[in-house]
Amino acid sequence: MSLTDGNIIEIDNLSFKYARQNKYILKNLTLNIKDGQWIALIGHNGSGKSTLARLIDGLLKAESGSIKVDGYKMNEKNIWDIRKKIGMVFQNPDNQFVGADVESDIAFGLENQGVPREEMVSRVADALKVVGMEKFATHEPARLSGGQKQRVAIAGVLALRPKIIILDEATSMLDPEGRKGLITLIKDLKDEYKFTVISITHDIDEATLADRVIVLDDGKIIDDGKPESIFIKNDELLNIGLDIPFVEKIRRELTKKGVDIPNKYFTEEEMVDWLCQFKQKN
Amino acid sequence: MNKLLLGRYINGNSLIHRMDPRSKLALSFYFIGIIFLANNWQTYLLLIAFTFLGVLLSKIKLSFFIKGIIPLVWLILFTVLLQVFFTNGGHVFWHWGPFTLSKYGLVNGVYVFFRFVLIIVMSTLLTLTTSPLEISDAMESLLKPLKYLKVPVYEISLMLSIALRFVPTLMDETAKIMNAQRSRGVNFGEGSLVEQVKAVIPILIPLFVSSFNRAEDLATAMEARGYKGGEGRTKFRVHVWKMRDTMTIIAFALLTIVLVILKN
Repeated sequence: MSLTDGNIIEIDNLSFKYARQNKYILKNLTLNIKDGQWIALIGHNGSGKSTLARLIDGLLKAESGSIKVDGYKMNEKNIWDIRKKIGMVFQNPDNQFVGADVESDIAFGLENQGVPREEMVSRVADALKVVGMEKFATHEPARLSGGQKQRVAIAGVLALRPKIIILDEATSMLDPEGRKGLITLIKDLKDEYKFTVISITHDIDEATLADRVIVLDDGKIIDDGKPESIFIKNDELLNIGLDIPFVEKIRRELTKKGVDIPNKYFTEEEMVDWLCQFKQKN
Repeated sequence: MNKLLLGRYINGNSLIHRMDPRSKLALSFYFIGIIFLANNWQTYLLLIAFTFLGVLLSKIKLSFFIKGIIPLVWLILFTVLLQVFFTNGGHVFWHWGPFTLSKYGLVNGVYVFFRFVLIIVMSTLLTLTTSPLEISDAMESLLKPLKYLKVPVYEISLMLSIALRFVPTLMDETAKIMNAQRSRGVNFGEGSLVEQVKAVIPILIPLFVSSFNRAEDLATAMEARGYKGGEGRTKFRVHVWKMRDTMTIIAFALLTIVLVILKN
């Protein structure tokens, strides 16, 4: 099936509210996501990020509007086909581990799809190797660290070979080391397997790695664009209670101190280069 | 705390360890059945030798089996003494009120003692050489015929394996909650019985709430990974029936035949 304009996800005029609540979590949301991009979805607590992810995977049912994933319209009939295309990694590494050991957890999704055993064995082994957990194949979850459990969760998703991977604050419960390792891993895997990543995150530095940043506020998209264009308008982000990247913070402090630094977004390397040049000049 | 359940399994690579968990589980139950065939010293001697062979083959230290017997020592003593003092027959050595010490009583006491020890040692052998995971696999497999009686065997085994997988997680959680409540001044295991029971509430309620939250998260994660019930699923964990399993079954069959011949 060919995708219209290369959009893997098309959301049109989507509204959602939880039962017995009057407030709409998402209101008339329209959003298209291109195949193969890394999307960061940011917003303060309760802005509807996780709800949006769950709607895309069919875990919640929209009140109105439509969702199309890889050309399939989300409805009762297509829901399982759509779920096959999406792999989700959730926030708490402990609560998404189904199997009694690492291998059987990775195999769980494959078992659900009725994959024959011989293929399962090789796919599980491959997935374990990709996330660097071969040595832990028969370990129980109690003997793994949080970061290792999240790696297993990613392996479980990779074994299913989805087109889209949704990370629902997948790194928020990890320490800085584990977080960095996991993000690098996903980034590398994305370059290799060319899937689409939707990363819901509070970690602004993680969001700067994305191809496109979408800012949600009270169920509405208030900003959408490349990280460099989003993070330069930092006052807006601060106003809705979000942080700004570290490099941007440095830039602002320097401006305050009267340093003549251009009013543009810097990546970490650019900032380092600029500072070196600045030091040589003065 | 972790020693309680999972620590009882001792990792190893002996003949018994490598056996199919299905045959181990079934034969353990079968053994308890055929113990009741024994009714004289020859048959008991045979059973003891057989069990001892099993223990030897498992390459696990005898002390572990003795540890398995210790918690049940009072039950054993109580039953043996009842047998000894309340059985009549044969030569009477001693007599006082309702109590008699007779030849039959003594013999029966010894038999009951060995019956207990054999059952405990055999079931300890099963749990020491089989991981909880394998036991749950074996149970699923052995319960399969119940499918025809509309018993949801697959769901039961998934329940069992999730329960086993959450035992250590909930243990950790309990310890954490206890520490958190201690740091706010709750005293556990102190005071009167009523106070002690009341102190359990600040552990139990958060534990319940967090278990339900975990269950909900897990259910969402399972659904997101395409779980829609037992229909159409394949299995990753399979056990292969090997020659040694057939051999063990033959050994048990021979044992049964000899027992039937020797018993009076």
